[in-house]
Amino acid sequence: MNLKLIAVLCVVAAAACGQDVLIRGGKVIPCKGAELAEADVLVRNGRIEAVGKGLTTDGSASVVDARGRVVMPGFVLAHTSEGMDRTNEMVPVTPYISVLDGVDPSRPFFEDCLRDGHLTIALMPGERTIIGGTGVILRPHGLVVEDLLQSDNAGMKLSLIPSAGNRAAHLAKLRAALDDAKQHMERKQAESGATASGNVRFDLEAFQLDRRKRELARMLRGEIPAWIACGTPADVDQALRLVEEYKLKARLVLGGGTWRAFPLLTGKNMPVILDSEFEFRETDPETGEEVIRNLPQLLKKAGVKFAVTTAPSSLGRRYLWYQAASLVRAGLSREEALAAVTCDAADAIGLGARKGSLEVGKDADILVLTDDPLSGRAWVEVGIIGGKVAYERSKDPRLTEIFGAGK
Amino acid sequence: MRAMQSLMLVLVGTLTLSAQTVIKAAKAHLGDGRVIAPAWVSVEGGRITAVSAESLSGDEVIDCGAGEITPGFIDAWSSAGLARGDNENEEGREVTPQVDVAGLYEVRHVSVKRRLAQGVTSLLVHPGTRAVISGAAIVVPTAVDATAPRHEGAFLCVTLGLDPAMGNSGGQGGGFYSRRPNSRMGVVYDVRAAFTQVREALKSGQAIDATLAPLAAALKGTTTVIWYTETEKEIWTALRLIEELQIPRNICAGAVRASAAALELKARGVPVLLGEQHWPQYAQRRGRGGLDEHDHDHAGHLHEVTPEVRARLAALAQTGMTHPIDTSEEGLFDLGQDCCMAPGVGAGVVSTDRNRIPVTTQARELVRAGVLCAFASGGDTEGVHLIDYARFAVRDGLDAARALSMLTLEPARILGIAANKGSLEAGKDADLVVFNGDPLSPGSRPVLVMEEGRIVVRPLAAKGE
Repeated sequence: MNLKLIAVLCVVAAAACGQDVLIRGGKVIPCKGAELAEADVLVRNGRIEAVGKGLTTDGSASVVDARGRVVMPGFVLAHTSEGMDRTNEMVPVTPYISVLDGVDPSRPFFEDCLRDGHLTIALMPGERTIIGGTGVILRPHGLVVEDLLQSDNAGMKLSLIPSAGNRAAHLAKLRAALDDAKQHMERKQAESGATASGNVRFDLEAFQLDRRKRELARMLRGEIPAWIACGTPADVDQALRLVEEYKLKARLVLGGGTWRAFPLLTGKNMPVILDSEFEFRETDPETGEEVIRNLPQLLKKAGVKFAVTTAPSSLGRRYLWYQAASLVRAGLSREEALAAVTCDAADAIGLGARKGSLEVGKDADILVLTDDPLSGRAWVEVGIIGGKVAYERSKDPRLTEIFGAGK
Repeated sequence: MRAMQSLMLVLVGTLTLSAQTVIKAAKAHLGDGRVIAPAWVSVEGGRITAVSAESLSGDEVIDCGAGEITPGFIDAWSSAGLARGDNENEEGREVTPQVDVAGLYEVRHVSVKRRLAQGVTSLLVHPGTRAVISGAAIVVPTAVDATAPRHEGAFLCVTLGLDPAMGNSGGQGGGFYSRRPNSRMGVVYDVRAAFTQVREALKSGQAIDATLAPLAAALKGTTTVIWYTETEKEIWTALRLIEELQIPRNICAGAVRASAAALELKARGVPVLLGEQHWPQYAQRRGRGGLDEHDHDHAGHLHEVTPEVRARLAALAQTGMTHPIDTSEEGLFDLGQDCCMAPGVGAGVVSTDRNRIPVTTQARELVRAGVLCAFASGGDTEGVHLIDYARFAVRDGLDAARALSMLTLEPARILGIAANKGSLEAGKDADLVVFNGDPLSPGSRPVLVMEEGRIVVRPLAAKGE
């Protein structure tokens, strides 16, 4: 599939939604800046045009009545491997595959994301291989993958968690792949300097070699970030070394077991995405007692901003609003908790300029909720993606089926 | 490093408060639907001596500030405290009614500490679901070294479905590993055979083998049978067996898709313990009978309430076989008895794709139909906080007081311990949890747990670290 064509289609789709939308009279939680009671949000050309009280527009705008409701930016799911059938190809090094080819828009996962207000989704390969391939940024709305696409290459997934064999071998294979791609890059560079003479022959082998290494080369040139999954404190240390050595632009995807390495991240300004379980349980080797580590507090103590992920098979952890409430339960402030599922999450996936807050000029990805997002009782009433109403609870057939037409 | 353990919980096992202690908080949810604010609860000798919205004095006052008090939670279907969790049971035979988990409960087990940290102060511990009749469950105070359970032998656990049929080699039979039932049919046969044998013996006045005595107690109604079911069809099977064997006291546990059987459960007076499996985790489970595509149209005749079904329900109600446990407080949450006969409730609502009905939504349907029900953790000791079931039930439209009662008074009534447990009331055991805010808000957590007057959990942070 031609990725450039997809990008063009995305731009066309964004430009097509010309009609203004006025979201009127709700309690506005911008997630950057102060909360506003009974305020309006004006959307024009798919972007936020204005936020404030008493906004007006010409008669052509469609009005969303948000009185008695809460208006906030769409949640940003900063890392997931749901929505496709297999999360990893069972070959250790596959930088040339993309989740783009595995996304199944008809999966209930996307429907649930829309219903739950997860309007931006970073979909990455899983953690079971060394180099998993490239990921994408999606919106949970559309029938074919082109409809869903926000960014066709969000970065390369690396995993430092050995699925089999030992850690040293795992790391050696990773380095070998990176060095190989680096050499390939340098060779290409040298070749491009030489002028072609005589008959230029199409070199199929070189073409295929290039195709297999191209994305890794892009990562090494800093054009796309590396998403590095870490399971232990040593993994975090290694990740930081790799970033330094190969001059990578990186994001860290951290499991709870990495908590001892959190101080290493202080002052690094490295985007961090925390696993969905915020309490890490371990057994004290001396006493045999279970000790619970409060991961959000430990990250806060280390001065690290972070995004959080979800666990779709869990009662609560499948919702980002619940995850935010859990951060409050762990002792974070309301603002910090909401930031971890909106603006900080957008920053973590490199979309901070476009997503994650209700600021003028940002993408109009907006939720109208029935209640405060941290109350535990909120439902998404209206979901707006890129200025278009993508979800209305009153028209959700699934909820009608469960709750009857009254709810 | 130790300073980082801000959430580490302390177990104060031996501290007994003999003097009068008063707990002061911003609000108390009494468990029976009432809320008082502010709240004072005085405790002496392990029992609640007074609950008041006005100031009470005592030898010691624990001021919980903006905290809110609830009764201690009751986990009415769990495998906490067992070294092997829900795989504890004896698997040498299919029918082991003589097996009893009393004496196996380990109060120091990590699963017990996790329950206490969640505010669970009473537990029903079952002997597993891998045998057809797996034995006696016990009801224990969570933090007490319960070598002598309070209600020994009062509950007999029966597993329907495929759990007992798992783990054998199948094939031609005759081998050591293929003794056990291989199918639902075989499981049900074992239940029927065991009960029928005992019933016939009782009728003819023959002596009953001591190992089968618990079955006789179940037939006489001195023991309650807990039917563990995983799919809707197993609930129907349980109801059929209850009717056929004339077993007076019953509870349905596990109960996935119980809301589809709400009418029948109500008519039979069978209370329901909901939980453990929930959407979409249930749909993702494999090999446990859950993901059976052919289940969907089972019992399709109930999707609309025909005159015949109405007549049958009316006849069932006439048999007088309503739930005999602790119905004195019936009417406390009177949600309209006629609900259960209304077409669409219980049956019609869930007529398609039942695998995806969240358990909390089912709670709402069951409550509407007038079925006594409670949330319970099942075998899950780590992932889910029991209070989250109530939180999600409220989000799904259940009344907040009712949702809380499904962790407190309702399970107490189902287990027959409501005289001492389940609500904040003078004279009852001093089992309570203090949250640092609204217990039904997911941002709140327990900051103090008291069981029978003893403070059993108090996070270090609350002690000023």
